[in-house]
Amino acid sequence: MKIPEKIEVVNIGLDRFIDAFEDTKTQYANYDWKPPQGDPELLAKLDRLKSSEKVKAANREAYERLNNSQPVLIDVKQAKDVIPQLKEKVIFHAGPPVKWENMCGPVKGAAMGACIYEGWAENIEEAKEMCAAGEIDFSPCHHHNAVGPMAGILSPSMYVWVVKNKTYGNEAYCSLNEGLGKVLRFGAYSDEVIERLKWMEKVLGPNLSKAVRATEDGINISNITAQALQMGDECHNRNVAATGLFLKQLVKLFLEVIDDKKLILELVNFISGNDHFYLNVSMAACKTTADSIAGLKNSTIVSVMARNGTEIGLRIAGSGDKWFTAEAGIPKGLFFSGFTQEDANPDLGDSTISEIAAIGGFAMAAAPAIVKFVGGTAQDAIKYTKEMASITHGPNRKFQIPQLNFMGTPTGLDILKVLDTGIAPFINTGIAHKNPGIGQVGAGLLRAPMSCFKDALNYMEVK
Amino acid sequence: MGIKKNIINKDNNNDSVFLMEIAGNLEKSDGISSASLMMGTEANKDILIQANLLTEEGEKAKENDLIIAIAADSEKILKDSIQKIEHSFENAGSEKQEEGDFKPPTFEAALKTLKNPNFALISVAGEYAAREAGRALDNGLNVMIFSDNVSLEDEIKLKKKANSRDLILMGPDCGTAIIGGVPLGFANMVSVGNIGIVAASGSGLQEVTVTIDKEGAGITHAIGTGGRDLSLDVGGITMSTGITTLEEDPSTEVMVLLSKPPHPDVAKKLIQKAKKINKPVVICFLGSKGFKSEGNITFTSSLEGAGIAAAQLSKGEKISLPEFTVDNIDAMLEKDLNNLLGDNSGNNAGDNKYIRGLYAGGTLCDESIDIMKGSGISPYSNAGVPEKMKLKDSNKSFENSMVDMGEDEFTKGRPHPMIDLSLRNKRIEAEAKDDETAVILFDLVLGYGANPDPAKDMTDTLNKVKDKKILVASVCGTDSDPQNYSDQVAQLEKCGVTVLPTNAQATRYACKVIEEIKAR
Repeated sequence: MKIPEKIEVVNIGLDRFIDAFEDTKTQYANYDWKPPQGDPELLAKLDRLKSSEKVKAANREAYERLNNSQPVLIDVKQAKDVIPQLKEKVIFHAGPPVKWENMCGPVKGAAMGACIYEGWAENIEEAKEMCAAGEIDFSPCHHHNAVGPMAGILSPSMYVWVVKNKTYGNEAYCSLNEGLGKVLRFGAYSDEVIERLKWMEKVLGPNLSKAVRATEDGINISNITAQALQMGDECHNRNVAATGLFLKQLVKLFLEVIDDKKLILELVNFISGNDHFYLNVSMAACKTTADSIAGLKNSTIVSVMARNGTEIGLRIAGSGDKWFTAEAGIPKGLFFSGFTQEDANPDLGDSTISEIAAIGGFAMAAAPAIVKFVGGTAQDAIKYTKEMASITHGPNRKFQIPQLNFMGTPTGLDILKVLDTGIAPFINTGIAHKNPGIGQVGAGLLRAPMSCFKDALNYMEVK
Repeated sequence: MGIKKNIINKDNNNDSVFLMEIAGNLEKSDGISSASLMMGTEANKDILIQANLLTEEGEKAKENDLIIAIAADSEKILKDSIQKIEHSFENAGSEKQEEGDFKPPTFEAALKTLKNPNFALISVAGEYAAREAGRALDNGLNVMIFSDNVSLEDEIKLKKKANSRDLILMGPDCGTAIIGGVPLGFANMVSVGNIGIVAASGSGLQEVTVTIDKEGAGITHAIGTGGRDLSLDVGGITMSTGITTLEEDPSTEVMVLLSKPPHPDVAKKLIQKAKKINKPVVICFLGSKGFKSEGNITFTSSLEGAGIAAAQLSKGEKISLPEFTVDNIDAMLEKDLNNLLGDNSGNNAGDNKYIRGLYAGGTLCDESIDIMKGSGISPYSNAGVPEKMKLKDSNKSFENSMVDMGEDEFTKGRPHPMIDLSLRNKRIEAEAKDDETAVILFDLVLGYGANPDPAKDMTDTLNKVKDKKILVASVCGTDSDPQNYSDQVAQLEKCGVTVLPTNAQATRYACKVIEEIKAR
């Protein structure tokens, strides 16, 4: 060993040792070390996969696909017309598979609401009996190229956004957003909820369909998202700018295809009255993007992260359809008047597909307004995004954050990096009341549990 | 009965999350049963209705109007809360923003922040240390593992790996190193000079570097090897690399090799290697006896001896190792004995006859045991003594006792005594209550990593016991240390402690006290 002329030190562990470096003006980096996750055997596997050329190549490919995906809104259709499995008495839900008896309050509430909406049940009692008797086939949205926010309930008559990945040809679907407060996706099922769903089926869906079909090539969704990120949205929990940008395109189309001025006004009022209208189309776009890596051999990049209010589930590109699940955490956040943390349902919804496609919590720096959910500062928002950069493959080429010098958003959540750094991905989410029938009570933040990442690595095989 | 009020701020558009935070804070204050700030959209009004907060006034709000809805116990509280809301709006953004303190979250990111990273200092929990060390070596960094609890197998593997990459691995359980004047881990700020050190002992290395500094010499590099390096299993891999490194280092003119009692085969091998070197080498392997010179090698048996000999060699002086480097020893002794025994020796038979040593530095404790044995006193201890001299209970002294309080039994679940002195303070008080105790002997280790003002943390304890027993100490540190040597010594002396320049001298002094008591 030859002693270097000037030493430069990476400090790994105790902060107290950097005093000496400060006093002697020695260059140093104080690595924010956290214990890696897993027993020695798992860590050995982690190191092996990290240095595997096959894994590296597969992850590079996954990163390229996530970047090159071009989600385009091509149609709005009734779910049963685009998803053949969604037949009579079939209901899709968010997250990994879950049986009726294990469903959380809001998912049960939304499922019962859907039974009434579809006319399978007269009232809530009947709906409950029907579900409990096993007359309804439940299946995760994710098993059918679909996603749904919160409860994620999708039934045959509902209209869905049809988004196509122009680069890879795959399609994905998501319901239309009903608005905030008492809505089906947060587990509410009162008459007004059902009435609104009916209106969406009779009026909103068909007219959106007409409008989208009037475009030549559809509406490019990632372009809207990219713009919205520069306007203060992260397009998961804040969609104000994106909804405005989307509406800008829709208004023109409505004027082209609809003669009835009052109808246009009705449509525009509904859309502009809901700052989250864009969320669902964005989620469908994220799903087409994420599906481009599903089943990609040897890749350790996460292709699905979703919650059903009971469990959170992951799917890894390289392990195909296999779910890795853990108990869903409870988000901490801000609550509407009259509600408290006590009322919060565990983490819920497919909307974390946003993070898998490099927006949402990973793009928090773009939307400092919403770190207030956990009493954070604008500085924290930047910290979250930088932190997520350390557990993802690389920066996004399309989604950029101006206040980070146009750094691309963290893209390609890698289980190896999660376990290596001990940093769990960060989720921002709406919060449903834990009981059925009440609806949204707040919004907040949490981190995904480590155990499902460990299980995923345990299962992964390099071929 | 409470009152409910809606106030509308016309055309006052605000971010909903910002508003929720204000409302949330308001709801925490006394006398407010509920509060909500929302823009007057239809959806928001529904939420207010659900919360039973919407009034006729609120109904009139338009979507760009802010509704402040409050249910309070009294008009007064309501008025106050509106003021609070105004205050929240005015003070938004004034909360302290944490600036800059970005710690790289990954090893790779940490590397990228440096121009030419060449060392990693690892102090994570032992079970993770080997993995971090392996990664640092793979990235071309020399490594110091401060952490303990690294397996022997990992240690050997890592040391071989370091050698194959022409790097050095210091540790595991390496407490101290100084490379190019930069203190790593628990180290003192000592003068730069021409003496290079390789040491299999943390506090030993500190004592030797500090002694060299006191003698007016200085060091080039001090390489730590970790406590197990000179075991038969490891075979002195790092010390051997260290010798070669210092041999090739042009600024190193004198070399010191230092170890707790090594395995004889390993010691022999390293001595052979040192003999072939074209520089004077001072070797202090504790447990060996006496002072001797052979060719380029000088053997010493104490840390102090190693430090002084190296300093003298470095200045081209003849080696001479005095018993004390202060000249008023007899006067000090007289004063201490008078304080303890009184003018007319009211000493009860059987009282005041033992040394109780309470140490933070493990090798300092070892050095003291060696010196005491040389003076015909065989102390019991919890470390580094043959089985028959082991203390049955580390928490209870027996006859002459030397306790290394840095050993596992004292540090499980609490910081090392160089950082947290509370356990040792308690022990000092306990020893002071024991009639058989004559001298309480201790060390105070300064430097980076150590307690920022250890003497101050001892003041209360020392003042309680100073009239009961003779307190003898040495302070391992320099005036350039963050704690300042002179200041620490002055604080101890103010509490009646007799402070000697080195641990060896403090120990010799303690032995003299015992001899004198016996003689009287």
